Amino acid sequence: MAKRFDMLSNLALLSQIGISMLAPIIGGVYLGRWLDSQFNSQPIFLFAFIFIGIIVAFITLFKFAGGKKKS
Amino acid sequence: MEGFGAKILFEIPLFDGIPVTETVVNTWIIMAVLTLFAVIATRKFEAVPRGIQNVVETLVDVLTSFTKQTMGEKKMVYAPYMLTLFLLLAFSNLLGLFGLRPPTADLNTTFALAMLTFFIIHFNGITKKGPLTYAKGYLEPMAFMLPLNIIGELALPISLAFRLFGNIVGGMIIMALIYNGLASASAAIGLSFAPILQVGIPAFLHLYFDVFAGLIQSFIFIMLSMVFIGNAYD
Repeated sequence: MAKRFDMLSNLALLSQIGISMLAPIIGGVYLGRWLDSQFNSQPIFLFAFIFIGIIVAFITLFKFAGGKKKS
Repeated sequence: MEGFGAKILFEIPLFDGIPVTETVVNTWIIMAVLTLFAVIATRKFEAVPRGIQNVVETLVDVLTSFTKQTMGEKKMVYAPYMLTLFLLLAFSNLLGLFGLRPPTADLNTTFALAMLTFFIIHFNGITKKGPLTYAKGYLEPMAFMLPLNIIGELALPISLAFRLFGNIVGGMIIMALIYNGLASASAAIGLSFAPILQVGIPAFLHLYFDVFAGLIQSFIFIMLSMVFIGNAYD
């Protein structure tokens, strides 16, 4: 990671936090809906993948905002 | 009124006909402009920079120091790639100023660029950390996190691509609506032969949507690429 961010870089990282929460949840919704339509099992997969998406969103957020992984 | 998707301009009569959209043609224009710029600007370099050489030196200088600051001395190999990416994105986003459709207003373009970053990240992850350490990274902090980690990695190119696409296409749609609205407004006051309201008023919005948002989004794209590629190393 960079040691010194200027204002624009911080702005970029901040905006990434928002969208990195959104992407897995929306991805989960679409994947779940598609699987439901394949197996005709509404709404089991939808709920399961929304839940997974939310967990992934928070993990990504945590990794992103919580700083470096320990090497 | 037709939709906001990229129009198909012509088809290459190969296989079942390959459609060539506005996006592709506008990308060709940008490629031509950038190639010409590269050829003309680097024709003869002098010890004391003059004219266009100043522009080139400033660009290279800024991007090099920015890469150094964000990724560190060891990863300076990425500076040329990032400058290329930045120039391509900036020119693409600014194309809206000329009344052409920005190539970045097409998900195919932004997703292709995001996939480049994605592959660099994982290629570096595998070669620099070693395949085993790389694979073990997916099992951290616990083994059952494997599917969650994989989805998390896949979400990265999606978020990169959709952010750029959404910003540019949003600006493009708002501009199109405003142009149409102003044309109707001119017609309403009896000036349908010369839509006079379209002159001047959209300039401020172009300034925001094309120049400001376009340049900021190009910058954000390369900035995030740098951060994530840098993280793939350690």
